Amino acid sequence: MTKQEYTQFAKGIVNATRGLIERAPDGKMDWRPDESFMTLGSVIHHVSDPVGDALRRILENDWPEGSDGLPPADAFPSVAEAKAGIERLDKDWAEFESRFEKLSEDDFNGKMVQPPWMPAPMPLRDYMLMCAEHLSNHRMQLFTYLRLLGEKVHTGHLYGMADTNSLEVA
Amino acid sequence: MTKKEYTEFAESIVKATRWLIGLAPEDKMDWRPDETFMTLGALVCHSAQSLGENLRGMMSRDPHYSEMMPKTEWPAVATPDFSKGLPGPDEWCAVSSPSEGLEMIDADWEKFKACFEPVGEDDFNNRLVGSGEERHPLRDHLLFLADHLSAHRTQLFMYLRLLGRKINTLDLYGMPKK
Repeated sequence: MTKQEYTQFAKGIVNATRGLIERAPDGKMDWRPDESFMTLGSVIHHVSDPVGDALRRILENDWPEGSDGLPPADAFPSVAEAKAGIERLDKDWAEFESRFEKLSEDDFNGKMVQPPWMPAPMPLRDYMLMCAEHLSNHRMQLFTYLRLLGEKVHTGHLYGMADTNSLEVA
Repeated sequence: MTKKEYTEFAESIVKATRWLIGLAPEDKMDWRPDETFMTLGALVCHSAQSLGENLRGMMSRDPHYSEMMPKTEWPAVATPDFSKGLPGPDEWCAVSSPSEGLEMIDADWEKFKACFEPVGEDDFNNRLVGSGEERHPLRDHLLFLADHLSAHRTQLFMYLRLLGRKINTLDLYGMPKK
């Protein structure tokens, strides 16, 4: 996979996530479907540093305490309003572009890395694909939260194609 | 991206989805978070035929690919009507049990591999598929399908959590603790 192919794939997910964060109601940041889930504000905080910070951490081997386990839902930090999530996400993408630019294609595809939660090393490419997939998962979580909160979002918003009229039904 | 890289990426998502389908409670197939959502049975059905069937359909509509497709007579699959856009929440086809969903996703993965096998690396990365302004490399189309399945896997994970299943992030990624 080339760096450009990855960037295009990740950017599509990041942009769609950004569109969902923009639609999150500020007065509902403490809301969650039940107490076993993160709050809306925590989900937004969690999705707003998906690739830049992830790339920095793996390259610098700098991980927060507990990265090899699963924190409880209440342990995740939160944003107080959607705007803070947008600012974090934009900053994260800028960091991603800055760091990713310095990597060679061989580094991307061949450098072996091992985040704390994985049992064995993996190519940096696969780690970055995992980061994109991780964001995709939480994007769907955010989308579901917005639906449950009564926001008028449809599949077009989920994939960053909100202007596509043919997707408005579901 | 090579075909092998894509296959490994997609297979990990399929396997994790399969794991979650197996955890779905059989007596809750009609359940949904509210009436604007698909039912659990519809979600399982939609997730379980989202790769192979989609690739088969795309290839069969493209003369370049239809010639290389295997001559297999696959059983017909139930599909909703997309002619007026995406179906409403009550219009999706559904399975009646997790075991039906497991059979479906296994068959879909076999269909995917059979259809994908004859595709060349150059076609995968460079030949455009689709119509009008929506043409893009097959690679990007398939990456979108993997992302789409990943999204519905998360939806399934949330349904199971809301139904009280004691599962966590490791289940989402198909890596449950032994």
